[in-house]
Amino acid sequence: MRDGCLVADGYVHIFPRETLRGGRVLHHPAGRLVEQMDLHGVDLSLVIARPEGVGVFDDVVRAHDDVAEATTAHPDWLAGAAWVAPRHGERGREELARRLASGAFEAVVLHPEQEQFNLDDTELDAAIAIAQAHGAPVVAHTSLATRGAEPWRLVRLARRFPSVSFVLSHLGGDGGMLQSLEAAKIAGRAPNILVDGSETVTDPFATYLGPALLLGPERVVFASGEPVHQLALGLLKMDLLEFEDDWRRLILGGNLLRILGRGDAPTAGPATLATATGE
Amino acid sequence: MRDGFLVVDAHAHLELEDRTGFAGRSARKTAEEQIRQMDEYGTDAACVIAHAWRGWQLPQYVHEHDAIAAAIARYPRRLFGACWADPGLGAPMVAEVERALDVLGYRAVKLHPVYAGFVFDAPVVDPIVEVAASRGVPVIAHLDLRWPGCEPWRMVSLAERWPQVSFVMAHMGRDIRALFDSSFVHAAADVPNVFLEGSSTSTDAYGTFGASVEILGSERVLYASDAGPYHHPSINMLKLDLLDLPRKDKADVFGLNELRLLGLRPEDVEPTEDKGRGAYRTVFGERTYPVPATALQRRPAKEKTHA
Repeated sequence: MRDGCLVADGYVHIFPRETLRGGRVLHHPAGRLVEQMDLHGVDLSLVIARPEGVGVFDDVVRAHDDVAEATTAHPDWLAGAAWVAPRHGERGREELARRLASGAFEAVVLHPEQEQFNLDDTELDAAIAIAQAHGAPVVAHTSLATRGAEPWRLVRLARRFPSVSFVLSHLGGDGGMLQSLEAAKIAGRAPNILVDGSETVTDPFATYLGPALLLGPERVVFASGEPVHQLALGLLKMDLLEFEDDWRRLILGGNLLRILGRGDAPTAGPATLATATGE
Repeated sequence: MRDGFLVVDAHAHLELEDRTGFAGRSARKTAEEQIRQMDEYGTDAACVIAHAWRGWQLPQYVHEHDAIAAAIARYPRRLFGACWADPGLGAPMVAEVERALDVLGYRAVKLHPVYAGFVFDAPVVDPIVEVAASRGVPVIAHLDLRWPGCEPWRMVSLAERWPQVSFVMAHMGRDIRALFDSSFVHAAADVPNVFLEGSSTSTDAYGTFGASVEILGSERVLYASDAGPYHHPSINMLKLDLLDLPRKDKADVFGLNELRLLGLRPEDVEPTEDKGRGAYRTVFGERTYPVPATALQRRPAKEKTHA
């Protein structure tokens, strides 16, 4: 916890062994992630399964095994998001259903950049129906620079599944889109889309407070992108912003816990002048 | 200062008039507000870049240059200036850049091909670069992969044409994916007069400062914040705090490189109180973030409440 708030991080990766690229920690194991969480007062992280290979179904299964092992070993600390992509067809959907049924996974992740599909492809519908059946939220990697991963495509998908919570991750993966609040405005077109602030530029207002003012505090999720993007930097952004206490509770953890079905549905009061100011 | 390092921000802005910027936010920031923030976070000096807007004509540049020069003159050992040029305005703009450097005391020239609408390595830029060359001042540019004519690699070709001029690639080319894979750092690697500054980049500490130092060496990488009304200087400071770079490299990146580019010495700057490593003022007061030097100091086990 931090400052009386439960903290839940909506976007992290793990791997069974530490992986370096140059001097960069590309992946770290679950134990290392939990150490980081403990050090920073983070209570829960949503671990995004990510297969090593591109389009290799066996790698999807292996990534799920790794995440399942981690969430089983650290059930109070880690929740899993299972990977699905249209190119893996029926066996990919069977794998998704099996993982969600196992209890080791509580969310679904879509990564159109790595798996080369469009976020609004109707080919995705059968997989989203599985998420819907399990009450699992769908986290979507978005990137303005990548065809298929543009944030506006998520609106069309979310409108087809109004009872499913979708998370527009990285707020479009573009500094200008973040700072102009365009990604948040796009999310505003479907009430079941939340946004997360992982992997974004150094503008704290545009990452968290601006989207919260636009969408309501119930639709903004704290997230880091560990280990490539550092938890401390994401937390510093939050710590620099003036929020009402109930807004901070929702953004730092309440919203993610709610869509994962791990907590009650917290509510927030309206924006006040103090909340609406900020750098 | 931070952790014994002189901190010189290579990219900051003031906005002295009531203009609306991103998403309806006020862009206003005075020199006094800038200095107050610098004091709070241990920024000793900053390069304040005069800021033009789309469609500006020469009188507006003259007014902006005069106003910013007057504002930063109140803090001669803290704030140093970069003037702004639109090469498309021709000879009168060249003369205005000469006035800004020679009369108003600016120490660098900023180009923004996205706002001004020119091809960054086209011949139209040469008269402005020629002025920079003749005065020995650097050229800073905002480049952007998504704008034809403004792609970061065009700085490499312009820099090869003007090897005697130092060019600073603002925001490290301003692309989150390229920051991750160091694409523009590699593009600049073989051209020694290209420098990269890390303002307005993502929360990827290694991509911002670690990889760029490994590839270019510490003397071509600059700490910068884009501190104005939007970006916060502490986030890029904490990135450097999180990295275990050699102290000589950190000293270069935090401030010495920018001083060299601006033709200044450390003694030309009035240092602030040393804030230490990982310590930042937040809405909760002073807070220390775990950095590698303290990462092994575990907090007491906490009680889980959400499971």
